[in-house]
Amino acid sequence: MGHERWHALARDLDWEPSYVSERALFPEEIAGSPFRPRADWEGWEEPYKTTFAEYVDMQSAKERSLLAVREAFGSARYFRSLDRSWLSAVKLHGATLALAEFTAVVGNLRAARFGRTSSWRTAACFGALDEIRHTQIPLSFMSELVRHDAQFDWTHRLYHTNNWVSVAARSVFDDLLLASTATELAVGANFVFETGFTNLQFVGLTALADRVGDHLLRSMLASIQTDEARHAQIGRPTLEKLVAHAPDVAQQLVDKWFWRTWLLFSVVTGITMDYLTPIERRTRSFKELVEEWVVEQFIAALDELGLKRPWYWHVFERSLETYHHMIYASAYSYRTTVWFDFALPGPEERAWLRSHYPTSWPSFEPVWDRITELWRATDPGVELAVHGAAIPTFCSLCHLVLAHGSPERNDACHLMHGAERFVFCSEPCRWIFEQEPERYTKTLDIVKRVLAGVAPGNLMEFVRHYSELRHEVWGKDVHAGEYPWLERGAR
Amino acid sequence: MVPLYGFVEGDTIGLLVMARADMTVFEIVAKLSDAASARVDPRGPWHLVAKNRVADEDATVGDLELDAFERVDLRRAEGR
Repeated sequence: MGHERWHALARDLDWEPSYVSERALFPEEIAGSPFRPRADWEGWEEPYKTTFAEYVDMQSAKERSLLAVREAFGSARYFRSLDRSWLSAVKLHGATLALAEFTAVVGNLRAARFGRTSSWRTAACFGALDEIRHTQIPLSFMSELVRHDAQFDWTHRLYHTNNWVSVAARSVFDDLLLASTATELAVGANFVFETGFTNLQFVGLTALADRVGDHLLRSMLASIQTDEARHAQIGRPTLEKLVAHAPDVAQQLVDKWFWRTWLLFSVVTGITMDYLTPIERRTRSFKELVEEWVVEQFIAALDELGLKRPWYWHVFERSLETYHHMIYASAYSYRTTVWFDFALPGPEERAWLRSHYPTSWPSFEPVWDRITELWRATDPGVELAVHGAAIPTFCSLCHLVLAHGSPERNDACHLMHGAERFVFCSEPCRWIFEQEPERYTKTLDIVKRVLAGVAPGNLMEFVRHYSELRHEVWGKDVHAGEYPWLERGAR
Repeated sequence: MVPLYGFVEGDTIGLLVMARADMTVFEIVAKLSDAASARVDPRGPWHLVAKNRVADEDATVGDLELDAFERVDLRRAEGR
């Protein structure tokens, strides 16, 4: 049988159920709402098709190639050759990526059962196999490095802790990959997150890793990206059908998931590109990457589908200018609460940031002046003299810190639900909560955990016992506050 | 104690302030500006804005009828 005939027959082998109704076979609660009969899904077609035999051959070749790279770039040599700030970016990506991908296995398996066409379910099967691989690759590669640096242990550990980054990342990934229907998963994960953000992020980050000389990360990301590009295709045909039969639902899901995934994307990729990449290796800012690769392409895709930009687009445009700067300055001053280190931007880095963010950066200069002044007033290594002690506040929806807006005006807003006040980092987070409050009221944010006595209110207790960070692991300044440009003089 | 969400002008993050009902605005200002001092110069003068109004520094949390998780802002007063 020829290749094309096999594809047509094997990947889309559907049938009419005879002893249960179609609605019972694909319940709305797990397949997607509103229920549409099978006829409405006919013609669902992913552009790139593969068979299981082809898939196995292809993946096997990729594994051989990756193992060869790991052999060639031995862990000790790799570890010593890289800039310490960049290693922080590797730790951040490794930890947020690995077990989130495992959650994606579960999501894809749900779609492999409840996707509305056989071809969709087949593609989701391959997606699940991909995500197993994406879990195993970073775990395998980073585990080699634990002997050199205990912070790499958090590649596996992060999601097993109550660290605030873990709480925030679990909130979005559990919501997207475990709590969503097959249809919402296809729109939120495959179309918005993978096509809109991560596919391009992998391309951009792969190029950056290459410039930094990080061959291990480059190869790992490039290998993962090829899988992502294939299974991300599930999103568009699903969205096309949804637009045709339930356009309001399609728009609502796009608006919801663009915002939810944007915040995490901005935190992870924004600070990697604009703060943790050595300045001589930077080619463009995070904002330029997003404008070129995400905004243009995402808007073009929405136009083609007959969808509008999310209603909060003006908020997103401001967010692109400020959010990751707000997060980085905040996280720098609470660095003991995470598992990777931070670089203090010096005159050269600040000039670079000023030139790439001429409108927003001036608002951040006083913050870094203040942090620098505190370092100048203390000795190198005295981390807690340049550190926050008060408990930060968190968004009731995304569970990230309330750091949206600008230093002039924080965007935090609230909503009364019953007798309870919920606080949000931004209007879009409040809007998402308002759409489905019953979905989001049960998870306590960190502040409410502290007040309920579930988490300690003392910062060091919180770091040690609740976030499970030991002194040798928790984040520090990569140079212990000792920079050639930071003169202390006699005190 | 009333947990308040405090935002200091010039800062990048909101902070939790645990306030007693008899605590004055003056004391809240001192507590919040100190809490943000890792990123913002704490020296004033500051105004506390609650319920969209500048609060009198002698007023208490009870006087202002602040609820749990209500937002308060520290804004730099003119002249600094």
